[in-house]
Amino acid sequence: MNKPLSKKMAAYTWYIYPIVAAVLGLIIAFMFSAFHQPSRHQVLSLFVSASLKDDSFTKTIKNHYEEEDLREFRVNASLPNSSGFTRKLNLYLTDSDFLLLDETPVNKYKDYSPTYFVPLDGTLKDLYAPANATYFAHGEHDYGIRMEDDCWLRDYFLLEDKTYYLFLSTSSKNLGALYDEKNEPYDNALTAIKLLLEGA
Amino acid sequence: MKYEVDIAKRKKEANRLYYGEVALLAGLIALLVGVNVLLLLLSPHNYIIYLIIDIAVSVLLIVAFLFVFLNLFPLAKTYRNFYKNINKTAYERARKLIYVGEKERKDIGNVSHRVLAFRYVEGFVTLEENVYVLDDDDLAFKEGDLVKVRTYRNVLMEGEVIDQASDE
Repeated sequence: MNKPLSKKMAAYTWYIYPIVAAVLGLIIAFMFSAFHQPSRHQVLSLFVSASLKDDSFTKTIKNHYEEEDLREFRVNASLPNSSGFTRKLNLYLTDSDFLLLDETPVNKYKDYSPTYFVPLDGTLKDLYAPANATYFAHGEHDYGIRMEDDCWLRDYFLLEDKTYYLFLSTSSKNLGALYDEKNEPYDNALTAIKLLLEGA
Repeated sequence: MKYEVDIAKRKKEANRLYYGEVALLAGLIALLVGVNVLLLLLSPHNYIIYLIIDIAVSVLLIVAFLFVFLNLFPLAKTYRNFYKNINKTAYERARKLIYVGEKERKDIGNVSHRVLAFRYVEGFVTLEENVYVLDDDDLAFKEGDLVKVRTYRNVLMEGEVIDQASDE
C-alpha cells in the first residue's frame, strides 16, 4: 500500500525534529534561568582570605531572611599565599558585599580604605555592629570589625593564627541609602553584620 | 462527452486548504509563545517542575508545527499555486490515441488522482505522455479516438473526443 506523501516527506526530514526540539529545550532552560536570576539586592557575597571548610553557614544566614529578600549567599575564599589571591582580592574588593581579611592584605590596602571599605561611623556602629566590638581603624575612621576568637564562623574556615576583620565593601548594593538613595529598601548587608559575627 | 475540471471550485478548495494551514501554523506559534510566557510568569524561583512542563509542551507544539510546516504546508502551497496560475500557460493539443491505459492511482495530500498513459503517433514516431487526471468521472477516451486535450503541468484540465473510433 502506498504511504501518504506527507509521511514519505517526513521520512526525509525526521532528523530536523530532534535537533529543533533540543535547541528549543536549551532556549527555554536559558530563558527560565535568566528570568529567575536573583537581582543584585537579593544576593550577599563574602570574600574570605582563608580556605573554606564548609559553606553550610550560608543556609543559616539565608534562613534568617525571607526568600524574596535574600536568595543567595555566595562565598569566595582564597588563601593569601596562593597564586591568584591578589587578582581575586582586586576583583572582590569591588564585587562583594563583605570581605573577611587577615592583617596582611588589610595592611597592604589600608591606604585605600575609604575607596573600598565602608567607614563605620557612630550610627552604623550603634545600629548594626555587635556591642563591644573591636575595630580596625585607619585615619579618622573605623573600617573593619574584628572577628573574635569565639566567633561561630571560625568553624567553617581554615583560619590561620592571625587577626581577621570583617569589612563592608563600598561597592555593595545592599547598604540601604548609605551610598545611593535608590537602594534605601535594600539593607541586607547592614543587617547581616551581626549575623556574620555573632550567629543567628 | 466533454471532460472538464471545475477550476473555480478547486481554486476555492485550494485557497481554503492553504489559509487553513497558515492559520494552523500561526495558532501553533501563538500557543507556543503563550505557554512559554504564561509558565515563565507563573513559575516560582524553584522552577524545575514548570521548566519540565514547559519543555514537554513546547517540544510537542514545535514537532506539530514542523510536521505541518515541512510536510503539509508545502503541498497546500503547491496546490494553491497550481490553480492560481492555471489559465496562464495551459497547453492545448489534439491527438489520435493509439493506446490509453491507467498507470497508477495516487493520493497527494488530500487530492486523489490517477495517471493515464496516452500513446499517439507523430510523424514516424510513437510517443507516450503521462497525463494526471483529477476527476475519475466523465473521461471515456478509447483507443482510436481523436481527442482534444488541455493540460497544465500534465494535469488534464479539459478533454473532448472530437472524432470517435469506429467500432470495427
